[in-house]
Amino acid sequence: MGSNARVGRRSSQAVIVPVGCQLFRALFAGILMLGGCVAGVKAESVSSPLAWNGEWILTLAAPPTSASVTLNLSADWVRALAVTDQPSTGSKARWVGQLHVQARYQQEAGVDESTGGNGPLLRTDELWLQLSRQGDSSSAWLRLGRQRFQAGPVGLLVANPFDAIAAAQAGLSFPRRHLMLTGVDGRLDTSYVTYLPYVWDQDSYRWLRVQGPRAGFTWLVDGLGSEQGLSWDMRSTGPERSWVAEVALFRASRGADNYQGWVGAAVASLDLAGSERYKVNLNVGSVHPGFTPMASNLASAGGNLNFKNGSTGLELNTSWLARPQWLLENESSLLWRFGWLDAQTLFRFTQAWRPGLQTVWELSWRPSSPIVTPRSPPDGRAQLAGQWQLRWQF
Amino acid sequence: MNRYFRSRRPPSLLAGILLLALASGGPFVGSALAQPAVSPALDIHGLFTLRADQYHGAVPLSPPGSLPPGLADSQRREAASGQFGWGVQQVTRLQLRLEPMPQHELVLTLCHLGWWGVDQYTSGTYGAPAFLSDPFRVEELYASLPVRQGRIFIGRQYFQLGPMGLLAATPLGDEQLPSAVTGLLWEGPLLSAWSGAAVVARLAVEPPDEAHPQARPHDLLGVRLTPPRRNVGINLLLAGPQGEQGLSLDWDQREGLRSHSAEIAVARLPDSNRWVWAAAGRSQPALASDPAPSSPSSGWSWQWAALDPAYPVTLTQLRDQGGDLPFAPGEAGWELRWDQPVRPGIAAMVSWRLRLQLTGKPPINQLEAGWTWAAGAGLTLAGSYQHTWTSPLGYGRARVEVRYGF
Repeated sequence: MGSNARVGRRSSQAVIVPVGCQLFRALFAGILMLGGCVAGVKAESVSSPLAWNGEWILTLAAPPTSASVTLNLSADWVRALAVTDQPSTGSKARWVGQLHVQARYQQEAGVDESTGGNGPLLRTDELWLQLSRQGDSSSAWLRLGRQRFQAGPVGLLVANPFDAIAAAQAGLSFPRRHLMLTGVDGRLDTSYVTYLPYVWDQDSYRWLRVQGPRAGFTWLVDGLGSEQGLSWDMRSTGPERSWVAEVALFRASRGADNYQGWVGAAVASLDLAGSERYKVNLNVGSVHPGFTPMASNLASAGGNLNFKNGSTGLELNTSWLARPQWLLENESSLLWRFGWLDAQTLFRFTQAWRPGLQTVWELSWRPSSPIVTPRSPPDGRAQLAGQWQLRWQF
Repeated sequence: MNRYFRSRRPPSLLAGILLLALASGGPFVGSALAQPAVSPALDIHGLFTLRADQYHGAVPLSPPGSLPPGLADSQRREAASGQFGWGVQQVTRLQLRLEPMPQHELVLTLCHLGWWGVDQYTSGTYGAPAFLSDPFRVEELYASLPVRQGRIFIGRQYFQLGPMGLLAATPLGDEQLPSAVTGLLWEGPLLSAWSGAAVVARLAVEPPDEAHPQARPHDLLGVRLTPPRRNVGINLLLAGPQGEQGLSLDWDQREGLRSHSAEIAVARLPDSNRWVWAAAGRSQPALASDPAPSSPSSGWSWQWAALDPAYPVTLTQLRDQGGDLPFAPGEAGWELRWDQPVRPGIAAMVSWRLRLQLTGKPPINQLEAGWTWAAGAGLTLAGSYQHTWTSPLGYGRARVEVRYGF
């Protein structure tokens, strides 16, 4: 996020500090130190070539009664490279190569592969190679492979939390000037969208971003089909109060069923008060019904924001670290969508039993509304729902 | 082939090692006995390859029936328009090797492959059998155990009999799903200082039908014998996947920094008395065994082959089976290649490949030029352009490749 402001439905307060598995680290350590010479270029040793972590989540929810298991595993192989930067002079620059693999298993009881589950498979979520270089006045990186990304702290116009995309991401950063340039040239998995009338053959996904010390500009050059968009985001960070905001313009692909023409959206997040023990955060936003980028942080696109296309309103988030092992949170949203009230309040209690192991109780209430969500009753009645989770991070 | 990741070589040469391991210590020479187990309890290696191809010109269409009608129509339209985009293929291999006790190994090789988008002709992405969201596939999973006479390899594994793999081999192709077989491989010494290797594998079982009331297994049974102090080997294919049988004689010699290999084989189908022949050879710098430009090396390489159109062996290193020998049955020809270092870490290459068609069709010429940059330990960048002349037209392929091994 780049600021203390919280945008999204999940608290980022870290009650738990993931710890590594020392046994496996000890076993893997030194594997990549084998090095060797390749055409006279000698490998440099690195201190931690392999790092891995994961998260296992058991969820019980009602109503309707459901149980699901999620396992996320990620591993990084990091290695310093002495790349021959200028072959004619033989000078060398220090680059770092990193191979990142993230796999995910998600299974809901009674839901098999044919009806939406992913079956007994450990799906590949992210798999990319990154080459990065830290220079005196600038740093650069190139990330190749299936990856997730987000442009800006809000991700209103460009973010893909719903699924990774095969892409090449290049970045150039000038820390002294607080300037960063980022560009992505990706390719959508057209096996799923070829038969949309506005997608032909290979469908590219491209965006560019310029980020300064307090603001950033994102240009969605080519989204799904011929989607286009522009966004302007701002941020301010302070010791007690921080805020971020993003204003975006979007135009759906021509020929699509979506609203045709340029439409707008704006979301802002402000930390009203906070300390090491508590935080009060307010999100306000308004999203045009036709603001439907395929890859966005909007809830309607599978993202982390509570706002959807057509939503207007505010959301108040409070969190209180009552004890070092207890985190109490409340998320209350008062939104209007397509002219109807779409409100919810949610209480969450997280208890950390030991580093990496925690239980989460959630209780949410929605007033009667015709707005249908995946878990709301079809008749629009008010609903009280509960959820219990066991989370193990390692 | 089942020891290709086990070498302690620099990672960027991993692909070259796949073949080098065959030439220096594969099952066919039985030298594994001389390698003491000094590895740690758990070892892990990997290789990430990103390859971008672009075609232009009169590219050949996929064989009839190999694509669903809708995709075949799209391919025809795309080929007719001549508007090809870049096809990007991503392949990742990871190998974990566990050594619970000295000389006992359990090897797991995982493979993940897919394309960035799957709807273009480039790189054969039409009808792609895999997606990037797919999980890693188990490519190899075998145990390597010492026995009284030699060593056995049990499980799913790659293998190759002889330096060329003309009679029995499981090619390691990136375009197709793994060809490893599940079986038992033994290698070790025999009487009178001979050494040998044998492989027994079950490839598939055909369910019973009206014509065949019994289930029909497709097995593989091959044997290799190497006389003492000779650089030759005798390979016997007693039963191939289609019941084919064959015999081959190979020769492998290293002189200084060059290696020379050749193999001549005869084979027949089970219901035929006609033996058909095949021959192939290779001469190259010792480390330049990778057909793709991946490792800077110097000097010339030469490959040649001549294969009867009816050569029936189906598990082999031939091009049409996804192997590294760039010829198919019914072809005769050669490939000449020159690698020249131009700067530290950078090498240029040029190659000429001639494929004469024994069936009477016009010959196919391929000229390729490229460069390889060993940018760092484990990191290799390469680019090349290959043009293929067929009668009456031709097509070209540009390729950029990044490899990262560890």
